[in-house]
Amino acid sequence: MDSWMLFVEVLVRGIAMGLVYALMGVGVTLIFGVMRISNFAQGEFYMLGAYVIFYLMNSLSLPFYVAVPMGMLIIFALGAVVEKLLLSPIHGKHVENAMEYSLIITFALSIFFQKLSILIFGPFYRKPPDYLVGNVGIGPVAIPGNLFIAIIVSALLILVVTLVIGRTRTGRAWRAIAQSPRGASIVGVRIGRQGTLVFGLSTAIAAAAGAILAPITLIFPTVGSTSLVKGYEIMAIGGVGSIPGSLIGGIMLGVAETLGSVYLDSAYKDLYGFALLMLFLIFRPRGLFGQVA
Amino acid sequence: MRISRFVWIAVLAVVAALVPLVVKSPHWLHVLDITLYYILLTSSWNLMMGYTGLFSFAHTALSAVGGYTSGLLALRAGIHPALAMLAGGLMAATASLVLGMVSLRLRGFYLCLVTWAFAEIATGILRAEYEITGGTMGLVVPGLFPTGVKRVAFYFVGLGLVIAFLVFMEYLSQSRVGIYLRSIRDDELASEAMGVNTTAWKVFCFTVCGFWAGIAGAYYGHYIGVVDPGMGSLNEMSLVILMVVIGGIGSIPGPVVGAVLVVILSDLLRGSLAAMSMLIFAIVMVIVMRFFPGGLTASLRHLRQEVSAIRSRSGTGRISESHS
Repeated sequence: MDSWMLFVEVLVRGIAMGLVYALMGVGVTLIFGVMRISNFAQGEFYMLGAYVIFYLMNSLSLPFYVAVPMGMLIIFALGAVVEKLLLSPIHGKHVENAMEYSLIITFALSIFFQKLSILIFGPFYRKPPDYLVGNVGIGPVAIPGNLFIAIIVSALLILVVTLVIGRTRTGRAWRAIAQSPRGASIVGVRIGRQGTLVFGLSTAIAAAAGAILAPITLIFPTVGSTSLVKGYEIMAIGGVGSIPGSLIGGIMLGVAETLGSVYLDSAYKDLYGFALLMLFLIFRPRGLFGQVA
Repeated sequence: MRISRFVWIAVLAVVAALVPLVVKSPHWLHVLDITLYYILLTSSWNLMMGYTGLFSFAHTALSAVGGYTSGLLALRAGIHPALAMLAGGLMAATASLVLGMVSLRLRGFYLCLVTWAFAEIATGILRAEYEITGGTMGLVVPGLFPTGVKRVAFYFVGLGLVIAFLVFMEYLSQSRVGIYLRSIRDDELASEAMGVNTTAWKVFCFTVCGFWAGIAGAYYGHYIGVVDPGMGSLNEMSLVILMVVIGGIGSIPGPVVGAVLVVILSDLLRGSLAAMSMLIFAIVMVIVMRFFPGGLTASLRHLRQEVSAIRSRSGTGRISESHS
């Protein structure tokens, strides 16, 4: 009986973590699915978002539900500026190999933001106040309040993104670009502007993910690298550009990690996700829900 | 085969061989030895990335594979480090061969993800299996030379490896194979339609680059005397990418120039500016990528063409007429 309870508890934990991971996956898959930009600095936007929202709550003593949208707006603006300044050349004919260009530029950006935040924020761990003190019971298992809030916010944001993509004109423009950038621009979609918008949104999502996980993982300058890894693992599992794929991929990853670290060797905990990523890319490169490229 | 293309390597070899006559301080000799390690890594990564268009994050992990294989063979089996180095190279080549075979269908960013996963898994295993590998602390391995031999000896070993690789690269780039590889980079489909066996040449590229990464790692291990999982980390990989981007992707001298510049500059910046150096390099990398694609070597070449164009324009009127 006890081992059965343990299994259920681990499973619920895994699903809960997976829902938050899914948000990281959505951020990554959004920008890659629409603009074919692989953003290696995604983790750094996650980290900056966590810091910005931490300071909004701590220094301006704003409540959580005001600080998160405000922080997302700030990171959105930062992301948009970065896209305009550094990534916009790939829309034109200035860059020979767009993939290689965006990869290297965002890779350099990730080093830049990481080292900059060590200089500005210092190499310390910071802990934001608990969002919800105590545990919340879901059925027979209790999960920490912070994780509960994280799940709610994550689910809400994923819902909003799904609605924006599925129901709005802007979302339709994004789907058009994903299918064919040239076709989209022929029917009047401004690729440059939409690219800035998508990039900004995907970085804002990363910022939100960073903020809601902050009480659990704490905040430090290299906290983002995990989220980058998770984001791409989820994208590989779920398929490029698929929001349901991100959701399922996130949950699969969360469950695989928690189950793996309990029942298998926990020294290898971080490697299970990488193994999944490799297996999926080798045997099923389009993931569970992705389109054939 | 144009012999003139090899001249710069000969000049480089002679100049580099004379350097120890001038540089006597052990510290700077150490910096030079490390530079040679990075030149081996950057040049071989450039063969993957700049020549064949295969973006790999696994390169420094392969170097770690080579370093550990060689170190463990020398330490546990008592094989002479020189032979062990060769074994390290072969082991890394085998690992790279397998990696290349399983990721053949993938291009661009997907390849990048798989190689990244490979790197994390390889270094993760090196960390976790501490009974064999010494874990995060690393593994103390025997030196290539008996203790007491000066750093100059390592310098000449490294230099020999670098010159051998550069000659190989220059030879390759002028051969048919070099054209095959570049055609794969520029348009894989077209190249396949022209009858190039793209699969075979991509695997070839993986294997060769893996071999040289392994040799580089083994050289590093037997020089420093310690191999650790950090050798294969993403941090090291970012250094390699940085050097190649600054020097110039796709040119043979580019990665050499980049490695020399970055290693020496970061040594000069060490101390109070140590935290700043990576920040500065990252800014330089962004600026180079955004405004000077092709890096330093391409910019220099461009500048030279510009100057000679101005000269010919201001010279006889006839040339400028035919130009316009």
